[in-house]
Amino acid sequence: MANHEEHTTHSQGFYLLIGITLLILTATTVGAAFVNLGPFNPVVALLIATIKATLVVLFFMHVKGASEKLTGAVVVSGFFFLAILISLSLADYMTRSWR
Amino acid sequence: MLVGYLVVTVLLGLTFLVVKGFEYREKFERHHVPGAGLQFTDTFDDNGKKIPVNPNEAQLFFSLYFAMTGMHALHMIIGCGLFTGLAILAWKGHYTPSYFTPIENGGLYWHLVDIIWIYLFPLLYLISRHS
Repeated sequence: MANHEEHTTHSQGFYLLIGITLLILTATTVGAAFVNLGPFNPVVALLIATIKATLVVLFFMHVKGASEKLTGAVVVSGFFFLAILISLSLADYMTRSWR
Repeated sequence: MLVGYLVVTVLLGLTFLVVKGFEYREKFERHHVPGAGLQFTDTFDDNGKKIPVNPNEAQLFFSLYFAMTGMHALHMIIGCGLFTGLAILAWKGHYTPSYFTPIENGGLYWHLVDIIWIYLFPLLYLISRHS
């Protein structure tokens, strides 16, 4: 294992800025929940949640600017397995009859 | 300073768990617990028309609520334990600017639990608030 793990190190202020952005996005998602967007309410909620999760993965988990390409590959494979989880769960749920 | 940050993380995590405890107590008081004793008589608004909630759907929702927030809270308790251990070791001087791998790994775990919460919060607490 390499002694120094990443080439880019951000300042404390940068991480604080990302944290404040996350708080602003949280306020946005709460506000958007009170607006009637019909079927788009869950879409907007999940979109904002995905933006927040992306910020956490890229910056707080040091994926952006990591010196190893393997780091990015591991993250992508995680999403792949999540896709399998969701599709198999939906395959069960959506093929049930409610009788 | 490292010790300070780790301790603050544990304290904030414990604050979250305390709030979760208050929430669970309210659920039990209002009988919003899945099982034979579930009482959920809220209605939801369908463009002005009040429709009573299907009790089976209420059972499903609260089963999911307790399962997911419970699993998340369990991981937070584990995380608080991990960070307490890290804080003790850091205070003893185990970590230097050239070796801090366990701190990073603890941080990765904590961020993963946070990402799970980022999705749980809107999906369990904000759905159907506009009605």
